[in-house]
Amino acid sequence: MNKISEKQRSDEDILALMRSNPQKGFEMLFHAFYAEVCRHIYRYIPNQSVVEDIAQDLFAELWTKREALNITKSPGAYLHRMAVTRSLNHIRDNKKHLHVSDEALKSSPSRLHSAHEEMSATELSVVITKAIDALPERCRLVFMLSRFEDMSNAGISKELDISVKTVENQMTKALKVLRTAIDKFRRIE
Amino acid sequence: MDIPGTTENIHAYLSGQLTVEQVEAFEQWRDTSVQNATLVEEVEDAWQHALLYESPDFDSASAIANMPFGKDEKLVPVDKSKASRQWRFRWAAAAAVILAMGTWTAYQLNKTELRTIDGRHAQFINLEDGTEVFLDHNGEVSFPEQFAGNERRVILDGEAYFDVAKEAERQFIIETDFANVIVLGTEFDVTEDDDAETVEVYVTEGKVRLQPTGSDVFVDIEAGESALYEHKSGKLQRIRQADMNRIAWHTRHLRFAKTPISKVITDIESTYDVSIDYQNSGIADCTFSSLYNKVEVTKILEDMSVVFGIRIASTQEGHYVLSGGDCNPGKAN
Repeated sequence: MNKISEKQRSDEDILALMRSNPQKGFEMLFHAFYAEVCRHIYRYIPNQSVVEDIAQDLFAELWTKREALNITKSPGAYLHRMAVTRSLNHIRDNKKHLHVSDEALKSSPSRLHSAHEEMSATELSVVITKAIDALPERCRLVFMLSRFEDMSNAGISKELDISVKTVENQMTKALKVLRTAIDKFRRIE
Repeated sequence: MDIPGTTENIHAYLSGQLTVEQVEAFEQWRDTSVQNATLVEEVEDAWQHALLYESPDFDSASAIANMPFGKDEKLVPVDKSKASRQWRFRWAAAAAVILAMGTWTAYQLNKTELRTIDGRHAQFINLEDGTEVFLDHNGEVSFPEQFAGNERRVILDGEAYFDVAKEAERQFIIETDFANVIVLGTEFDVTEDDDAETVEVYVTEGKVRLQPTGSDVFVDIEAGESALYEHKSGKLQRIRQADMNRIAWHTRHLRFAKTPISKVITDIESTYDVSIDYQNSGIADCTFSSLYNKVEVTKILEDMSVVFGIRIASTQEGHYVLSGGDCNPGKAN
């Protein structure tokens, strides 16, 4: 059985169940997509408890609006869009926070630093995750929006209310850090 | 666009934010010097591999208690790590069974005779001196129950990985049809190919000598090196930068450094004994860089899927089909 069609079938099953038995259907939707939604939001807001709050609000609101809800095709894509919108709203509402927390981010050791500190990084994905999480908060955010949402520099500038020049500078900085990290990783091996 | 050669312009190029004219100007600039081309390549490499970013895991089973629809906890998702631990346990058990059968067969044989074990029936042999032999599926090793005299001699057909027990007094020798491998150290892989009439040795630890049968010449190779003997031409070659992915079927250690996908795929196939078809031949030359140590095959395929936007389907156990994708999916948009 082809994986892709299996996925489509399970999406259809969930949507059908959400209509016939909303409680069971939402439970299934939650178990199928909660972790994915959280991991998605984490790309833009690297704080696990804030991420879980946003994700749970999102699912709770869907439940409240379930009568009017009309997800026709892919619940994954629908939730993905919602996750990005929610993340950007949260960032806008906490804008002050964004500017002061560059240092705060640096001083709070990221999860990967603690989890993988002792073992030498044997996988590039670990090295890259570490390098990205160590970027200053705004630099990380700009980079992630460009990389994972395909947002243009102009779009990011508008969304975050910063100049295009700042977006370009942050991108340059992030790419430089990544290049150095990858280069160092290859040299070790 | 005045100066194309800055990282921000490379980023604009990679993320598809340049106009057709700007792309032309940029590519012209890129092709004017090796430095420019290298810079673009490096930034592109970082841009591409950034897709390997991994958010931490989150647990829906504990979070559902907070949801208005979720007071029921019957639906507990499968713990992936637990599943893989179970899988590993089963593998260990299977290995033990095979080993037990091997021992039983040994008991049936005359002590002075050579025992022959092939990779289809056993993957692992523990020799009298404590040397461990791991057989690839095409490997076949013959050895005595007790080594006689002052040397340890085994006969190999096909491929096997040896972890030789250190013994100063008794030399360890692997005989093949065309050449002998004399062990001066500990861990290495030997392949004897009857059709091509070649013998190949890869050393992971220590030092090994490859010596064509009945010849005075030999090469000594050390860790990270390989040696190749071609019987037909009589060529004996030492390769200092060996392709250690060749022995990943045993070490499970794969290294890709700007490796074309076509090679990545053949390495994965021989390492994990799976077959992979890719329908989009346009991705064959895309380069992939990563390092894997004892991961499952799906992890590597998932990483490639992320980096190149490839779709992966598994039609049957051990068979994967890759479709779509391109060298730089970001740029396509």
